[in-house]
Amino acid sequence: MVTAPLGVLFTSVLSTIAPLPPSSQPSQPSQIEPRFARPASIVEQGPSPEYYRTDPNLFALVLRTQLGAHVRVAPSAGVAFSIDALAGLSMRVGRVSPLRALACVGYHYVGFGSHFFVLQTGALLDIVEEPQSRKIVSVGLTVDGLAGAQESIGALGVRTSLLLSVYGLTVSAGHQWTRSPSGDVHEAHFMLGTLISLGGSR
Amino acid sequence: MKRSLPLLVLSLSACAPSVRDLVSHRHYREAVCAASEGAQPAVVRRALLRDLGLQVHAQVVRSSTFDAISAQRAARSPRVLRLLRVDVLSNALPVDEVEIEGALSTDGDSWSVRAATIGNFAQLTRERLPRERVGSTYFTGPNVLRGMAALVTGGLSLLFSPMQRESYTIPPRPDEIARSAPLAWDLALYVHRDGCERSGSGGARCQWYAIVDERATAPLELRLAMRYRADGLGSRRSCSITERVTVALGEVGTLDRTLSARFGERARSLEELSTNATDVAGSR
Repeated sequence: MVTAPLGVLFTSVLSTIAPLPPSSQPSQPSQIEPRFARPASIVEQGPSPEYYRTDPNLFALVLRTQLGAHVRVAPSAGVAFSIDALAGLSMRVGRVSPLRALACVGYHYVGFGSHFFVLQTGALLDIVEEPQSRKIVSVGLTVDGLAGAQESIGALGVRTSLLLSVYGLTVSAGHQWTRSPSGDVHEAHFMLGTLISLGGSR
Repeated sequence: MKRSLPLLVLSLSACAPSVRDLVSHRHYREAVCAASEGAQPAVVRRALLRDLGLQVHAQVVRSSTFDAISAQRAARSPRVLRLLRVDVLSNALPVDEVEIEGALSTDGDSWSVRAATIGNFAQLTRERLPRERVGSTYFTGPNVLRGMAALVTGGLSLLFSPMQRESYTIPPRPDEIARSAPLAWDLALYVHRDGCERSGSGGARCQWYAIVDERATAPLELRLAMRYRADGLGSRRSCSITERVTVALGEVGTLDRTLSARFGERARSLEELSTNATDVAGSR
């Protein structure tokens, strides 16, 4: 059985048709111009859901950096520079759900002489989404477990932060509590940073 | 898209919409992506084909030039060749693209069905098409990069990566073809609308020509392949499904009479023709 692939060479050659030489005027073949019923234009009934057209992949790689200030409120007062660098995963709770769970690990430094390993968990809620551009405004809550050294003494702690992410730029504020043999320390923090999602849905 | 917070909270555990609902409300972009993931592809396929509303018309084209060439050829070898034209018109669907491909097929040797290309016409008329010319140039993308590297390195990079000449083909000009194969050109002029274009309604308007050998014993079939594409949202690219339908056009030996009786001047819908939906394939 032979199948004829139609119109490949032909279209390419004749797409640049030039006027024929006057000597070769073709004879007109006889062919019918068929009558068609008027074609319809089918339209959607109501706004379309957005489910199957979204990415079925729920996971995304997350990179976070933050710079800011820690304000020590107890036992003494003071302000120090702080920096964070974190990497992890986010997981959308459902394919089109605006809620994402977050899990990251990384490093957290405070200018009071604190160096901490960070295990961060949290939740992000997308409140504005532009599916085509992936621009998202999200709010979130993160809870960090801290383990490291505070002024050269071993310390453990917990940091809780509220987060606002606008097109990947973040503002976060919260409270950090650490416990070491020299006592408990409470600090408030205010940080600016980035939250970059790579891959995953939306 | 903006959503209010309460709606977002309510939709935290959003579930997949029913494919039957998508189809009944003509949300075909969603349905195409659902079918490409294996969600009830047969349901989506049936609905798309129904709403695509394909109309088909086929006829034998009468051309004194072609008939003379066919008769001349038949004197040398026992063949009766016919020039066939097929027209297809579709409705416009709410998807991002409908691509329709058509092919005619039957059994027999290599001349049973051939696309009505100028190359095949020239083979029929025993005319020789002008050859493609080969040109060459140094003005290529890699050479531009080599030039920039040479500027930066003071020419040293050219020792390791010298400029290279690249060749390219120049197709013959239409007037050259008309001069060297006038009969083939004559025939080809009337079948240059081969392929599909968007019709006024937004659907597809297709026209194909083919050369058919009437000695073929198996019935002639028109094989249509429809590829429906929907663009993805966000990080998703596009998804598509393809369906193939075979339309029986009739016995090749009596095509002229069969097609006249079956179609006349009026195109027929797929429901009026004997069809067989054979395949559906999805891709993400």
